[in-house]
Amino acid sequence: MARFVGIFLLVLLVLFGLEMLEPVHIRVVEPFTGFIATLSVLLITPFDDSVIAYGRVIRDGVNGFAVSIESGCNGVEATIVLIAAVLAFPATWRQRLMAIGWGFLAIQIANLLRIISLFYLGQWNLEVFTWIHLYLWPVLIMLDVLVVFIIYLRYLSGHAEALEITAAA
Amino acid sequence: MSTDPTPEASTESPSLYYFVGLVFLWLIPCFVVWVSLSSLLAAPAVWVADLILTSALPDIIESFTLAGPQALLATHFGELDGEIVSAQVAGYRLAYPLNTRILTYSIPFYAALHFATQTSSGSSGNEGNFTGFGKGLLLLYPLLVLGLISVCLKNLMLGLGPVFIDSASIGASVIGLMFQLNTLMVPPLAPILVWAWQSRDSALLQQLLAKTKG
Repeated sequence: MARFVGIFLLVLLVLFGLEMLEPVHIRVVEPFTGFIATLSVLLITPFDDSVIAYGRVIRDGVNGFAVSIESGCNGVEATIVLIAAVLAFPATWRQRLMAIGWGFLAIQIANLLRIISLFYLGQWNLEVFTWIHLYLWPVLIMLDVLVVFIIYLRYLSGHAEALEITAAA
Repeated sequence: MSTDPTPEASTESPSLYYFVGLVFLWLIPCFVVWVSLSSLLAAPAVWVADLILTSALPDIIESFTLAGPQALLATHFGELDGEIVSAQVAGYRLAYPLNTRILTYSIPFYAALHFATQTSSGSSGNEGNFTGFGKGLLLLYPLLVLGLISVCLKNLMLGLGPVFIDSASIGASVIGLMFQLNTLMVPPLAPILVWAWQSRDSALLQQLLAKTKG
């Protein structure tokens, strides 16, 4: 457990430090965040065609309400936590890459739900928007990471047992 | 070590969903209590942060106090004609409000994880409900203090600019990194780490981890 925590924290800090570097932020994080905004609008458009995206901003063309997707709301930090946890736990590289890939997808699905729900909550009630944005969604996203990691551990557990049975046979 | 994964896998399957469901259920009362007691819960961290900040930066910070769920960082400076000057010259004191809830929401999250584990495992192989919870809070509070200090330093950097940077001898990039880490990453992550450490002997984590190690 201590080894896991040590590697986890080390990888976490290194990746977080990398994310904060200006070149990484400009060339990777910002375009990715813009892509998330565009994807959110693509998902919204079949139900509400008045919504547009430009850069990291999603805007309602009718009432002018807009949200800007900032650091902490693009799922990057949650993905960093997952990568650190996956890399810290003993497994093959194939298993790790699969976990990171599927986990990234799960995190981004939850994150798209967060962005879209907040976009409409903000138009309804700004106080509720602030509360859910600042306190509830960060918890839910990290809970998502935890569930993904536990499912990964269960997969590893089942895989290890299957290998044991094969070896015993 | 079991050699037949099928029966155990079938008994394990509901436990994860059951546990996640319990966490969701516990989140509701925990957040309600947290909203009602947020200033009380923030008070110890604000008090310690005040001691540290006023000791480390006595020429800049006058006080860091609690006013409801908000904390107020009062400085020895004011502003006159766009210039940062002493509070005496300006005739008023610059102060920066801080929403302590952006950091203390880690407490209800940790509480929900802790009590959900207790409920799902019937406290077996774990510490008592409230003793364990108290110990977990003791681990979370230093991180809350660090978070408060990080936000205060960021506010001072943006508010006072060179006046603060020159006298504080802390690099702007270090403050920026501390702020991002302690507001974006630590509040939602620390509760999980504390919970995982405390629950490492609980039935839930034992099931998941022990067999994987094997």
